[in-house]
Amino acid sequence: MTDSSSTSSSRSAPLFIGAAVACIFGFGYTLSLIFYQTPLAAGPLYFNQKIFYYHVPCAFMLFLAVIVCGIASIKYLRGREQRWDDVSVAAAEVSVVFGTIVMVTGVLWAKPAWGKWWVWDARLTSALLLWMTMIAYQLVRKYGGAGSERLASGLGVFAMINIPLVYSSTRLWKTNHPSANTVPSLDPSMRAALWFSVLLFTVFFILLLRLRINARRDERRLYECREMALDAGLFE
Amino acid sequence: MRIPMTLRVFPIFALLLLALSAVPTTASAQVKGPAPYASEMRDECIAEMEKDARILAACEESHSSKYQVQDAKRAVKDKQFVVAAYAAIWAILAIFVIIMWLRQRKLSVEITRLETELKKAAAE
Repeated sequence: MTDSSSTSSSRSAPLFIGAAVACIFGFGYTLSLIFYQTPLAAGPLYFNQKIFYYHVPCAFMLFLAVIVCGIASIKYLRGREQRWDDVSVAAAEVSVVFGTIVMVTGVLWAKPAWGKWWVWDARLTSALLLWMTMIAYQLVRKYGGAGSERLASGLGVFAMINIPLVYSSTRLWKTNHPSANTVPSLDPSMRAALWFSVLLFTVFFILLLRLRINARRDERRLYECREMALDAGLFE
Repeated sequence: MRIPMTLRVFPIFALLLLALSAVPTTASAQVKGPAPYASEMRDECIAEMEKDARILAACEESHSSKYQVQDAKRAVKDKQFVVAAYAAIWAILAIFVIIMWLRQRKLSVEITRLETELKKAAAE
């Protein structure tokens, strides 16, 4: 049995500190970039365009989390290795968080831009379906009972397959949502702010994923400890 | 013959007024900037404006204070959505990190307790 000081929690302490430092300095700097160093957008978006600098990176993180979840699910389905299941569960949870951010910021962007909170166009609907698939993954894991790992892994793979459809929906169908070609046409300072934000969110995503994987390992370790305690007659 | 005082002063006043009126004319000539440049787009714009007077009127109106006030109002209104969006992002991320932190702490405490009890049981 290992000593309690070597739990994932204590191992992950520097990661928490790293995440906090990244949050304070990096995100602080992005706010300065977004609100002081980038110009106001021309046209109907105007000041509301400032939502874009966090909405787009969070959408990228949603895609990244779903891809990680999908790949880990395939690995788990092939080899039944527990470590891949841990990665899949962690990535799915992080994807729900970033999906929630994308949905909330998208709605707050749509109201002043289009005059409506929501429109049922291809990009919005497919993104909503992706987010709901990842919520379904969480529900299956929580309430699915025995064998739910395989069913949830199937959902993870399905969600990953859905990503190209979500990404190219603005090209495949006529949508209100701005297309992916918007980014190259931006002012250089706007592009710099966007890519810096993407970089920072990627680091933050990796930290969150790593922390969640550690927590997942500790959950399994606790389960093993309980089994051992039962065998030792510590519990009735 | 003595010339009245009013008549003697009048030419001085007239010269002074002439000089003063010339000053703004010279200044306004200076702020006009460079001479119009030759450009196809410029010629097209002038041709279009000559064809339809409403284009020029629309251009002039878009620079009016009415539109500037409208823009300012829109910026203030949009600001609420931007503030709400950023607040939502930070709130969601903070809630997730706090939940994860609390869950991790609870797990660590439980693991430590069980491991201590198991060690005790093994020693007995």
